[in-house]
Amino acid sequence: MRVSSYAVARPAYGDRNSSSTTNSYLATVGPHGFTVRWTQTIAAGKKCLVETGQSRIRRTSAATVLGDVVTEMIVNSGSTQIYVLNGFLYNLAVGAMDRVYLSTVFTLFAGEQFTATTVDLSTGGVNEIILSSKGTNYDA
Amino acid sequence: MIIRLSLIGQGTRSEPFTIDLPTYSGVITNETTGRAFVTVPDVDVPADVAAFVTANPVVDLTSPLPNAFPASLARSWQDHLARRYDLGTAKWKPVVA
Repeated sequence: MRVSSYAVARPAYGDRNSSSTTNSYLATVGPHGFTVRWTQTIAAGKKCLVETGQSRIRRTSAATVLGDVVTEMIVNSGSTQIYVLNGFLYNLAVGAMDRVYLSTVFTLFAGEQFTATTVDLSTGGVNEIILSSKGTNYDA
Repeated sequence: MIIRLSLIGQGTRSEPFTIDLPTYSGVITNETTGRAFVTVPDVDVPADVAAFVTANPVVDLTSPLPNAFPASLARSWQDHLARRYDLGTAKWKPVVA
């Protein structure tokens, strides 16, 4: 006679109705105010494991008056915010570049928002900006 | 799908330019006209809104929308997002512009 238990291990997250989710922004832009380039909100009953992400800023034409060029990835959880990535370029030279990668894997819970923002406080000039991330959505 | 939407916010750290949607990417803005091209997940766009966007194509961030976005479709989109994300009081009111 074969005896088995009713206690069955829960499937791994990757086997719980999972799907890839990607967020991306790629553009060549001049000076601009703080602008949200992408946002991901986690729906009720879901979680998301953020696995990788990067920011790259590359100056493609010199500014008349140099200002900070900043990229940010932020997790909004209720009333609190945590900055998980900051890119920063302050350089007039064409070709100057800043590249930053997300330094860890983390989980987003229902209701949390993962957001990417850019700002260029220069006058004149243009930068190529890439902001991207990849994660896996799954049943909580 | 890519949709031209109203931009909200002031461009400051506390009130950045943003889109009134829970999930989107690839935002290209025109702060002067208050419009942005936005990539929105297909599952977040109800069929009636998708049909309106397809029937009213735009090629830039300055020219007017061929037909005004009906209030009934705005409500339809709000309800769709509220059901799909099911996050209590969280509400979004995107406007095709």
